[in-house]
Amino acid sequence: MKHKNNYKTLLVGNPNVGKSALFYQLTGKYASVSNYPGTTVSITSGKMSIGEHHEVEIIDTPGFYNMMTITEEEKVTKQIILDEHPDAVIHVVDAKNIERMLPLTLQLIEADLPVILVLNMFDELKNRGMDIQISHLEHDLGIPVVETVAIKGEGVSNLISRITSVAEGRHTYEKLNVNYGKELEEKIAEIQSLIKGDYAVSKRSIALLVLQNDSDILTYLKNEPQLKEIRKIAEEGEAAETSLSVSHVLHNLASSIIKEHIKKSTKKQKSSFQSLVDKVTFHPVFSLFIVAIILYYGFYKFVGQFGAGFLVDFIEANIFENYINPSVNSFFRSVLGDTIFFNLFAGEYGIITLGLRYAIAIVLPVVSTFFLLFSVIEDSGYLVRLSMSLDRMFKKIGLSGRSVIPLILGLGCGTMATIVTRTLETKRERFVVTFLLALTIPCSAQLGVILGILGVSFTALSIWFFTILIIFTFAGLVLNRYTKGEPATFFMEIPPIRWPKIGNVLAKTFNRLKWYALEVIPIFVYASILIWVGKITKIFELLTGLLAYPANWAGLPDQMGEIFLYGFFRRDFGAAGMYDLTDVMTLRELVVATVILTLFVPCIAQFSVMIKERGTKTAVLIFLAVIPFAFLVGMILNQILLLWGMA
Amino acid sequence: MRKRMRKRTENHGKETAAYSGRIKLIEASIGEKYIVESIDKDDPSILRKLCSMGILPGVEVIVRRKKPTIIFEVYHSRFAVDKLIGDKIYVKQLQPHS
Repeated sequence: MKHKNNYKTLLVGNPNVGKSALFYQLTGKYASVSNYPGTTVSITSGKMSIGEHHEVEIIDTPGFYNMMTITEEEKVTKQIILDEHPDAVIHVVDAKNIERMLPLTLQLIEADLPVILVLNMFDELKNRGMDIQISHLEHDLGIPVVETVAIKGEGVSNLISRITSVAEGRHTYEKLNVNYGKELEEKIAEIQSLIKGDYAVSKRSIALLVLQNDSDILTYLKNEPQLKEIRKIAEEGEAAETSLSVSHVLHNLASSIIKEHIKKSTKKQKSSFQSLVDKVTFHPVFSLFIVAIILYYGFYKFVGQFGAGFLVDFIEANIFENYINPSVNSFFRSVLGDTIFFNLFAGEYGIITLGLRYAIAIVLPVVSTFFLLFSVIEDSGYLVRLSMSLDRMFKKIGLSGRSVIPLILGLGCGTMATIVTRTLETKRERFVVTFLLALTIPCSAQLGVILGILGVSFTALSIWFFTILIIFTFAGLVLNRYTKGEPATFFMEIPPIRWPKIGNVLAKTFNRLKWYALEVIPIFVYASILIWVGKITKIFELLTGLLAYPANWAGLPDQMGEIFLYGFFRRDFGAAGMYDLTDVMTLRELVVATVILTLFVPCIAQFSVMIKERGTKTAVLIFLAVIPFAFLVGMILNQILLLWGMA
Repeated sequence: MRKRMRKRTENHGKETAAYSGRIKLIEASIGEKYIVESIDKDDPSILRKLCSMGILPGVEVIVRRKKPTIIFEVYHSRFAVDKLIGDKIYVKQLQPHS
């Protein structure tokens, strides 16, 4: 028996099986519950106490299908499994789909990990007139098996006691007998004998990964003295053939185990409402209507008019302009007098009067309403359907439908969206999406201000929208043509349409906002400091002077130079700064200016994430391509509008 | 027919004399039951993806839609794939008496 006070437990499994809901039940803390692979981008962990003396750390891992990993996120999970030495590994499956998911359980057992199998959403299985004999299954697999309904908290206390017993080493695991056939077994044995080190998973598992040409396993084995020999055996074999045989053997074994213990029924269980929803959301034409409805009511009415209009006006005009700014200004004036330090905190560009005001009054309401809307769409299962309907169109610009998710998220926050590109499968697709996010997708704060400025004229708004759409398509076509790499393929599991649960939606929105507050709001503050430094050192004057030239070429006044520069420190700073110029600019100038601002380089936060995710070289390359392009488009658009006779 | 008789790269499961029943998933008719007969191994990343989702020789599939993307059911899940992937999965019609 182990004598530890702190145990580590991993939650692993496919996306969309209720892993995060279970995490919440165990820890009382919340992580995202998602309908598409990859909301849990960062690893969430929480603590659970057992009795008075023991604490279990629960780590919620990103969606995981197989030890042979494909996406970056799966790699993260594999890395955790290989590095963390967990005291228990909880494999969560969708009970009705156990046959399809059990092979991963078998892989985990083969890896000699302390596995617990959780059959979640057991109620859905029963609703289909099916049942599973848990005790028999436990016997055959030699591991604890627990049935749960995580969203209702059913079966959770049983799971906790199983976790305790496994973590304390009170459960005896038996070797599972899997036979991959003579030829493969010989190779496995050969590699096993060459591996000398001590690893978190069994040598047999490692050997299997080596034989399937897993991209990470040889790095993992880098300290092996006989790495060369291991690599040689791996290269001799047919990796693709091996993958197929291994999966095949595991699936056959899974099926034969399940067939004995599952009671099936022929009863069809699908409500007419659901099949109607399916018909509509799968339909190529009707699905576009749904997009239009979401765009109009969700984005325009809720995020645009309610968030960016009503809430911003209320917080900005009422609270900040009337109460906070005057008192902050007079406070700092009395303390610091009329010095340059006064301007650091207060005045036109102060940390509080500009940085925090923009963060709280302008951006926060817009981002909150957007995240709320996004969580509802996400939890309903609609995002995957949208990806599906747009896949064919997206193929033309070198993307798969999957990239719809980061691109839409980019309408909320480009920084977060750039991180979410991790869910995409190829490097090429990640690059193209990062580029398009930087160039064409306006974030919600920016969108809010743009809607506010151009909202007065439907024509102006349409010109802006179609220009951006054309640039998006054009940039996509060009990037597709000139980016190296294989074209993206599309493969997604379609979750059923569900009514989003209010609790989940709120918790998720809250989590995203928390991320936003912790990661992005500090950047507002730094940006204010940079602006302050830039102003007193006169560097800004120089830069705004420089940027005034291309602004002039596009028919815009000098002051736009300043707005473009501030736009980098926050895209929305720039757009928000334009509010002050609306009176002196014509409608044509406003359209051209908003188009340039949308296309202009992303904000400093997004740029730093681009460096982190894509590397400095790529990020700088994108940056340098975007600036002249934004102005070029502005100039051309200005000429076209002049020809068209727009004032 | 020419398409169906293309060179076989694959022989999992029990061999039968002729592969005349073999078609690509994109050629399957909507609503009919099929069995996955084999998966093309030319593209290892697609193969892996299919394997890890449990779409393997021997598994039963029903195609629900073919446009704009192919939608099919396996066990109790539904998947959407593009033509590229639909091209790599070979299926056989399930005989009513077997």
